[in-house]
This record gives sequence, C-alpha cells and structure tokens, in this order.
Amino acid sequence: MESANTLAIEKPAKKSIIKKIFEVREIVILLLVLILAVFMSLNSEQFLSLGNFRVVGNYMATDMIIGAFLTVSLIAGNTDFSVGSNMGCSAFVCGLMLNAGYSIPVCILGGLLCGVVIGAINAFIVVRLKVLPMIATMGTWMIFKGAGLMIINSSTLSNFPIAFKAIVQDWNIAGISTLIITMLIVTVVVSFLLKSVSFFHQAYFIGSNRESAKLAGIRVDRFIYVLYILIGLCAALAGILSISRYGSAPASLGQGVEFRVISALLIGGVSLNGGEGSILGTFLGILLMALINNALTLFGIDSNLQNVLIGSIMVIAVAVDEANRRRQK
Amino acid sequence: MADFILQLKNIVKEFPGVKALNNMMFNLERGEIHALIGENGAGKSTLMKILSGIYMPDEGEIVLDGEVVKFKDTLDSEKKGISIVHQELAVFNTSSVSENIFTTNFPKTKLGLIDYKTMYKEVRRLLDTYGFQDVGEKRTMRNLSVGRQQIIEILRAVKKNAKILILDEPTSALTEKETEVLMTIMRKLNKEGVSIIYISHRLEEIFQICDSVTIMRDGQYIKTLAVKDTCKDELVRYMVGRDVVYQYGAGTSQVSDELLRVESLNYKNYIKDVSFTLHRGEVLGIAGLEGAGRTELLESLFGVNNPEHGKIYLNGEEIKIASPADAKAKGIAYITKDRKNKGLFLRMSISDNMLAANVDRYTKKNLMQFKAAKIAAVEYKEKFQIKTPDVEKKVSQLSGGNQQKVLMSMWISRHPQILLIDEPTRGIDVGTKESIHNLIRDFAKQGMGVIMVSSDMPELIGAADRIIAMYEGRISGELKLDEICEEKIMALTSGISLSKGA
Repeated sequence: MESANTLAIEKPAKKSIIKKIFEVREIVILLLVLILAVFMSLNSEQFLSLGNFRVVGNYMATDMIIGAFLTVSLIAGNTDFSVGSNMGCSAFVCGLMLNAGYSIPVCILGGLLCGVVIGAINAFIVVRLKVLPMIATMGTWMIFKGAGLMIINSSTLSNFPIAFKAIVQDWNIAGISTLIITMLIVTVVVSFLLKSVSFFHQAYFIGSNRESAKLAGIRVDRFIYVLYILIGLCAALAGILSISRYGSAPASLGQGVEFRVISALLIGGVSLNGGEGSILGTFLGILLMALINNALTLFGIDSNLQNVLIGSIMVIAVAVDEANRRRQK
Repeated sequence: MADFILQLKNIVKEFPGVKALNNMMFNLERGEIHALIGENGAGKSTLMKILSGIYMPDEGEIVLDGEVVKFKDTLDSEKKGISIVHQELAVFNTSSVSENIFTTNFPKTKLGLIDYKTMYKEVRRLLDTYGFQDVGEKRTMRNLSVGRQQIIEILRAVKKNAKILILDEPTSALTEKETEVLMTIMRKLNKEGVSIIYISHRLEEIFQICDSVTIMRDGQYIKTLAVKDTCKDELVRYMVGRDVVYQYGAGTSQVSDELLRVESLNYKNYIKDVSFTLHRGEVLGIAGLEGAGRTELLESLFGVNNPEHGKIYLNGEEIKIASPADAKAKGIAYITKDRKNKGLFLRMSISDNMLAANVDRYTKKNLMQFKAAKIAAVEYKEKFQIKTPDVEKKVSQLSGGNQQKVLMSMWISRHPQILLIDEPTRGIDVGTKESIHNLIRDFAKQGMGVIMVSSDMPELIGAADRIIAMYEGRISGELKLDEICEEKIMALTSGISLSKGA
C-alpha cells in the first residue's frame, strides 16, 4: 500500500518537456506572441518601427492599467465588470471639473476619487449585501454607464487646458509617453505585490479555498474592499490618461473595456474559479490582443476580425486548461 | 414462523481499508415498525444505502417478499416498493410542496404536459389525510419549517406506495411537537400495511413507537429484541459491548492550572448554556451525537460563530473572540473535521499550505517569506513523518492521514496555547491514527490544552483525560478519567440521564 502510494506520487515527474511547456500558460501565450511578431516583421516594414511600438504600447496601456489589480482580484475569485463604466464615468468627472475651471491636480484627484468611490460601492455590495461579484458589478456597470452619460448629456467633452493634454501628449522619458510609463510601472509594481507582498499574495489562498482561508484567519472581507478600491482607482487613472491623450472625452469612453480586459486575463491564464493567474500572463494576454489589432490595422483587414480571433483564442485557451486539469486528476 | 417481508442474509460490504458490513443480517416482519440502532459508524447508513440501491453488496442476498432481489439503483428499489427518507433533507427549495411530492412522476394531460390541476388536487388530499390542512399545496418549500419539509419528504415516500419505508434519523431536525406528528403518521402508515425501518439515536422514541429493535455494532449483527421485552440499559449494553481498549495516552500528562473557562455560552439553537473549563496539559474530550452542537461549540470558541451570551476566560482574563483571525492571534488553533473543504488548500503545495495558515508569521516588512515557510514545512514533514517525497507536492496527492498531518503542522507550528480539534482521525487508517494521537498528546504534554470532539468511542476513551458529553446543545454530564466508560458516555449522549431528571 505504502509503496504504491509513493509511486503514484512520483509519476508525474516523468512528463515530457513539451507537455510541461504546454501546461504553463505564459509560455504558450509568449510563443503565440513571438510567432505573430516574427510573421509581422517579415510581412510588414512598418511593424518593427519605433512608431509602431508606440502605437501598440498606447493601445494596450489602459487595458493593462485596469487589468493588473483586476488580475489579483480574479485570482481571489472576485470579478469586476464595472471597470469600463468606471473608466468612463471617472474621466467625465475629471473632464467636467476641468471645463469648470478647477486646477488640473484637483481635477485629476476628483476623477480618481470617483473611481475609488465606485470601487468602494462594489466592495460594499459584495461584502455587506453578499451579492455575487458578477451580479454586483454588472449592476454597477449599468448604473455608472448611465450615470456617466447623464452627467455629460451624452455629448463629447473637449476644450481641456493645454497643460492637461500635455500630460500624455507631450511629457515623456526618452520618447516613451506617460501612458506607457504608467502601464510599465503598474505592471512591475503589481507583479511584485502579488508575488512577494503578503497582503496581496493572499489572493491565491482566498481564491484557492475561501473557507479554508477564513478559518486560517485571513481577513477576506478586508482584502475584497482593498482590491475593489484599487481596481476603481486604476480604472479612473486609465480614464483620465485617456482623455488627456485624446484631448477630449467621447461619450463612448470605456465602453466594452471590461469584456476586452477580462477576456485578455482569461487568455493569460487567470481562472474565473480563482486561485490561478499571474501578472505576466495578463500582460502577455493584453499584448497578444494589441498585436492582433495592430496586424489587422497594418494589413488593412476588417478590424471586426479581431473580436472573432480573440473570442476563439480565449475559448481554446480555457478548454486546453480544462483538459490539462482533467489529465492531472 | 414469522412472515418476513424483507430478509437480509450475510451482507458484506467492503470499502478500501474498511469492512463496513460483515455478515450482517436483518429481518423485517410484515407490518411492523422495526428500529435499527448502533453507534456512529456501526454501519446503519451503509446498510440502508444497500437497501435503497445506492450501494451493491459484495456478498449476501436480499430477500424481498420471498424472492431474491438485486437493486440496480435507487429507482429500481423504489419500483420494488422500498422508499427511503434520508437524514439530510433532499428537497427542492424553490419548488412548490406539490412539485416536491411528485418530483419526477407528474400527472400528465393528454398533450403530455404537466397536469397541475390533478397534481394540486391529489396533494391536497394527501395533506388533508395526514392532518396538514394548514399547509398549502402551492407553498414554496423553503417557506416551510425544517420539520415540515421533512414531513413533506416522508409524504413523498408515502406517495410512491412503498411497502417498506426507511426513515434514517428523521427526528434529528424535528421539534418535540413535530416528532409527535411524525409518530402519528408512522402509526397511520403502519395500519395501512406499510412496514417501517426506523433509525434513531433517541432510544426514548423506540420505546414509544417500535415493535422490535435490531442492534448492530462494527458492521455486524448483534441481536434482535422485541421492544416490550427490553429496556434502555440493555440496548446500550448491546450497542457498546466492546472489550477492545485503545491506549492513546489518556491520563499521561501533567494537568495543571486553568487555561480556558467558558461560562454559559449560547449560540442560536445549537449551544445552550454551555460552561466548562480546560486545564493546561489536558485533553478534554467532547462526546455527543451528530447535531448535538459539538462542532458549533468549537466554532464559537474560534470566532467562526459569534455566541450571543456567555463569557470566555483565557488564563483568567475575559476575552472576546470576534473572528478566526482574532482567535488565532490569541493562541487558539482550530483543526476542522472538514479538512478538504474548510481546512486545506488542496490545489496548493504543502509548503504553500504552511504559508497560508501563517501569513502573519511568514511576513517581514510586508514581504512574504517563502523560504522560511518552506523550511518550516520541511521541518514538520520530518517531525510529523508526513509521507511525501517533496513539500512542493500538491496536498491533494497525499493520503487522508498525511493530509491531516499537514493540517496539524500548519497550526501546531504556530505554537498555540489551545488546540481545538474536530474528529481528529475521521477517515484515517488505523496506523496513522495512533501517530496523530501521539502528536495531540505531545502537544498537551508541553503544557497546552486540547479540546477534542470525536464520534469515535475508543478514540475518546483512549485519548481524553476528561470528557464532557453534549445532548441537544447542552452539556449533559462530565466524566473524570476514572469514570470514563462507554456505557456512561452512551447514556449521557442519548439524553437518558437527562430524562431521568439528573
């Protein structure tokens, strides 16, 4: 009995390297990214240009800023569908304040505060009212989509001060824009937080088994509050940087972002059941989406194909994951 | 020669590592109410699962109405006239009473649609027949009390025109009044010719309603008696009747000062006026049946439940325990019986599990100390002899006994003052059992206190320095080391001494 047991335990070690690679999502997505990049550089002269890198970077920046803490939250088993509406609503608040003549730092703070409040509302509904995160945040998604459009009368806000627009349009370090720098900072910081800082690393325990986590004395409710607030803050930040970049706040700002980001997260290996995922995976998932978008644009192909491809990749990625899990059992 | 409607002959059922039933026999006479009793784990449920077609026996035969039968599944046994009402409710909460009674056999209209009119009419008649004029046939199930739900379940079984009805501890969730109603229904059914197998821990009820009683122990048939020819004491004697004594170290450590004192603790309906003390160096056993409030008591001490009244003193100082985190900070550790769902992180490695229960200890300047956790995991793997090649293995790949050791190492490595442990060796093989008890005793010997809940009699007797017994949320008695014996525990946990007015 005992020897049979040990054998059963040691068996998985003999897996082939190729199989092992395919069980690490990050590597699979990285391979897809590389294949796409090589293909692009062979077929398009523009692809490898600095300008194009900037395009790709700017395209993925807001998604990544939002996706970072969302990854942590999803690892702990709590989703947030309200990020797109939050991004729009917070940006509108900031824009309206700018047009009302408040100083730029005050306006930015106002926008960020709006994001924090929406995050806190989400947490309140989930923790106190015990509504499932998916339902709670679908509710706030609609609420703040509507509220955002109401405060701007469904029209585009523009005529922002030049100094505000300069934040993304002009400021740069070695030619890298504020937007991309922010994305890189958020990625590196959140990656570090999730890996090494106890409070954030608890996401894995909470997502792996919430009951055990509670009995182990982990303060699950507090974690949920902090995470929703951080997600809200980052969604607002993404919104504010967006309107600085465009110099205007279109009524459609932020719409559809939630599904795009969550599908990128799923492609990157985050599990909706919780317990799994990494910031690197999320980054690669979002990068893959940006590259696909870039490829379609460069080749002048119907950009709607992007959705078809992303949807397919997401389903295949999750199906492969499930197959792996079944095999491990 | 008696007229047997059902005979079970030489039934054997083995599960990996345990012989749940060994040469079990059982005879049910036509038209009688027959009680089946035995300790927790005696094999009653397994036997009933065989009768209802959930398990197939490995050996032996079932004779139903003079014919040897084999049940393919539950539907098959129902078709042959056997209905079972399980201990746990199996109702459809959001459906109506009528839908619950019919479940799959809805009356149909000519077009093959569900004929609600007929269904409601039939259910109305059924409810009226059994005296439930006040229960609406269209009521949503979840709006009924648990007792009523249980009765609807029984009516569902009745509706199937069962010849044999099996009731598995139907009264554990019922109030006294509801129990009486149930008894009335049973008598009525009995008069209509239904034979009933009645499983209950409440010996009182057996004397109220049953004709005969069969006692089983350790998966074996012990005796069948006519209820009118026996008494409670005799039944208890047969249920216990064991002479194997396990030595798990009871009475081998130095018991000293008071460590924990609980005064009239109350939590909902689960715990009523519970007071006791725990001393340093002591393993305090808590005996009781399922549902007596033992787990709820531990969870109240650990801050999972928030007790409504009552005081808790730790080292003589009154403390409040608001949450598990709070309890943990005060040096209390809790090892749940539901280790897979509430204790461990199955999908994670041993080392990560170590980390999860000790985030506070393995954090320096807010950073996670992965290495320190791994070192601790390796240390306790050696110390507790956890059989695994590597602490990076997923916990789900370990055997039950080793999983329990991992859970214990997660908590004992914190050096708590008090260890609360629920069913420490449930589902664990005999060999590992002893080593787990050695760990518990070693812990107590260091001057700490242990509160151990167990349904396993030999375990309680072999490991506990003192036992308090619980019955329906109350402490029904306390046994010092030299008073501990199975008969006394059995009597206290079945509420016998309570009813005598002790």
